Amino acid sequence: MARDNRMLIRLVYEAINVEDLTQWIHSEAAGAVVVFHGRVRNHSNGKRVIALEYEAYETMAEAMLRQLAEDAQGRWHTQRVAIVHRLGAVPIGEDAVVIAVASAHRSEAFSACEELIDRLKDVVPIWKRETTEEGSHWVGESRLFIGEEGRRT
Amino acid sequence: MQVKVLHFAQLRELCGATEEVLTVRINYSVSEAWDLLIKHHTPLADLPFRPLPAVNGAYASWETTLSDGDELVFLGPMSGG
Repeated sequence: MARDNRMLIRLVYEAINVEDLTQWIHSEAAGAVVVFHGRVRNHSNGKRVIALEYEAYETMAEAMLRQLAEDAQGRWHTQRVAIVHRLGAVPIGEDAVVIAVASAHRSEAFSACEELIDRLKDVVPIWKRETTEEGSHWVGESRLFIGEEGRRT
Repeated sequence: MQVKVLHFAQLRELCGATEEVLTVRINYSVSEAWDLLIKHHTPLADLPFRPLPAVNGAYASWETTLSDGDELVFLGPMSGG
């Protein structure tokens, strides 16, 4: 866990406490707060999803999330960035990740939030195992792997 | 020298372990360590992707030279979020 006054990075094994996050992100200098919830949906590629489980290389994942937050601060001049990712089994309908960004104006907060979730999916060592009616498999979504050996897993 | 390898997700299941220690000669490369792992765990040879190596918690190249006590991880396609 890394926590200073501009960045809050956490990996948790219980439901993400969004109220804590919105309290933490609050600042009188921020004219915009954008909060993204990545939720577990009940279907994937036309199949009913029964369960989803996340696993992480935790020390590297935290370091990469910290790096992404620093990059967002440099590029979008965000005031505060919070990223909380849940690990272990996550029930349908619950948050797997919540990203909150505070900035002076809305455009920076929207841009930073979108870039953060895109980069998180690509470079942060977190994996999800999806169980559908037809079985269970590790999902591979990172664009770092697309095109390599001509296939995406 | 010794290198600790951690396994996650699909690779963890294929290797049947969360970690192992490789005893290798000095100046061993990440690429050589991967070849050695495939010898220990033959299902790794059939992966439909080439993993990305990380040394001591940071992305590394296949040519990176390992040092005694390094922590090495081969990352399969990530899917956070």
